Amino acid sequence: MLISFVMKEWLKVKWVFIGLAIVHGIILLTIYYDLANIFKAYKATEVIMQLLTFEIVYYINVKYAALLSGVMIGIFQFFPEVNQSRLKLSFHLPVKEHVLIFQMAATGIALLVALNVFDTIVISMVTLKYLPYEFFESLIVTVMPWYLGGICAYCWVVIVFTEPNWMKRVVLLCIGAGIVSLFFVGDGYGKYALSLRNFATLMVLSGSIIFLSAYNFKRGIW
Amino acid sequence: MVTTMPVLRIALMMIIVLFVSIFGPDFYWKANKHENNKTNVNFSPIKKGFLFTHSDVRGSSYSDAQGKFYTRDEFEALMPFLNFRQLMLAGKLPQSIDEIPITPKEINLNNFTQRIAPALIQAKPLQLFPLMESASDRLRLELPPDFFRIGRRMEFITALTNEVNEEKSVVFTKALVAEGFTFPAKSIYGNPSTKKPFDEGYFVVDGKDRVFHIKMVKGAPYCKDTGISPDLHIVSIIPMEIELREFYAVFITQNNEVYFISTDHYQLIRLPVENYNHEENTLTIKGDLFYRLITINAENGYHATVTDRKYAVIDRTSAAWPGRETTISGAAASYLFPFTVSIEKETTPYIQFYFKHSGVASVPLLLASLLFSIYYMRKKNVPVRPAMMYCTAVVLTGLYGIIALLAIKDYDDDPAQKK
Repeated sequence: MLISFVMKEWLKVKWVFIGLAIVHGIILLTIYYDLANIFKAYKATEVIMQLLTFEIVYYINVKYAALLSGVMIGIFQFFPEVNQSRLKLSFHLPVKEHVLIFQMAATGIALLVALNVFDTIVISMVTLKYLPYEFFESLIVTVMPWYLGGICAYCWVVIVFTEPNWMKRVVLLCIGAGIVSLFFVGDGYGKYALSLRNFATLMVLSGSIIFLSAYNFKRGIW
Repeated sequence: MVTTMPVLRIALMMIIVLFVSIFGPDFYWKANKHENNKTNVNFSPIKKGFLFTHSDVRGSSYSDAQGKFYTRDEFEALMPFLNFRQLMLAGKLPQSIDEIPITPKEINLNNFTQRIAPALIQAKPLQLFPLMESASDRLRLELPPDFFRIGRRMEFITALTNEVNEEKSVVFTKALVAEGFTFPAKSIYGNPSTKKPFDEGYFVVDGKDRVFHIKMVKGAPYCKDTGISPDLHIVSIIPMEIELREFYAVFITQNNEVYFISTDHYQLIRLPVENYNHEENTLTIKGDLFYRLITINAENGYHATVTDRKYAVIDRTSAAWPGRETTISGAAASYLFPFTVSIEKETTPYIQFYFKHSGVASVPLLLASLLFSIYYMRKKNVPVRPAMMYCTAVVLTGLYGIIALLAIKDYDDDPAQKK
């Protein structure tokens, strides 16, 4: 049943995922060409000096890609479920609602992780080609809060969609937007270096609320 | 799963509390903006006393320690070193002060200001630096074609090819080893800018907390153990490449001591600094032909010390003004909010959850929140054990907890459960 469920989720978001992969690909290509071109236009030392002095994060657009992906996969995975009352039917299957919602959310998060891994590999390759190791070293710490933020955004989309009460939906949407915004504050390299664990905990806490929403949905608490 | 629902609700409460404690006070203070007191401390070589510049939305005013106010022209005349260009323009620059002849060139040479903010001390930039030619024959400093790092050895990476310049790396590593440097470097401090009058390279703290001075002179390495004691526990070194060439840098220790590294064989000059906390306060060192003025600026006040050129204390002054906590809005905030959380702080470049407690002022509302939560739990017919969990969360978080409690709304997991 697990494989069938994963398959069902994949079929549902397949085209969105492919679309997002293309968007990510275009963003990564832009990052690559921008960096390659700047090395053609200016002295290499001046380019690196500017990046160091002003802490210019040349892959900043990955931040928006991560957020967009989280929101889009969440919407396309759960909007039809709720809108066409498919989720209600699924909850009548002989599977506990928390297991079911976990499988659904895990599929969405796995797709997000795949996109994040793709981004990281490409940016790492671009970075190591043009820039000293230190830029690569700071990469993970810099992008990790964005990835966590993307997954957190996905979780809050799921929470909002599975919440049966409209009033609470609006409240949760506001809370979700506020919480997700915390992952995208600050410019520069490694600004979250001292707080990555705390933000990872916040993401996990947000993820756990999905079970509460699913529980409310199944019980139809209005 | 029913049994885990209260735990999940507590998780949701925590998230809502975090959300409200970040955005609530932030919005509150946007609506109750507190006007900052900006006072700049100066020491007049004419009056031999402190002069203050007060700036606010209405403009600037000038006064002395006795509360006498001055016009802008009077202030400028009393501060000839600070305003020498303006005084020259007006033909009012004195020829001498205390019978010591002064010239604009000398004034300009001796004037300097070094501001050290906590965020500067705590910042940890990418550990990659350009090592400029310190004895260049050129008029201006130029960026080298490579950048260095000091890990297991000193390594130069050519920017254009992104490859290690092996030859240069070996030469510099050998020079460091010969001077007794222990790899890897713990910290590297320098001013990698070409917009400075000359280059003095970097001060590097090695693996054994010893401080080395490293620069490049005519393409060759210059590495010198400064002899600064590792027991000082340096937290930051701020290079001061100024024309005066009296000191290489200023450094701050873990114990909030401040030292100049003199250009005279790296001798240390301890500055008479009091009430300084490098994690919270901004340190400003101003120098002129006669004096050194050291000012510690805190959120709600300052401490200033003026010394002569031999660093003997001449005078001190300090002031404190009511912070926003003492205003009506501030008092209301401390009653309403048991704590506030912000993820950005002026004193650090890092994002983190920074908690600030309101103290005992919030206790009445915490207790009121507890009573309300007990009433609300009874009204909602919530079983005792989960109700106790929710009430505990509320008594710890006050108004935030109440908001979370009301937002969650549904608590009835099992109608058959004994209430």
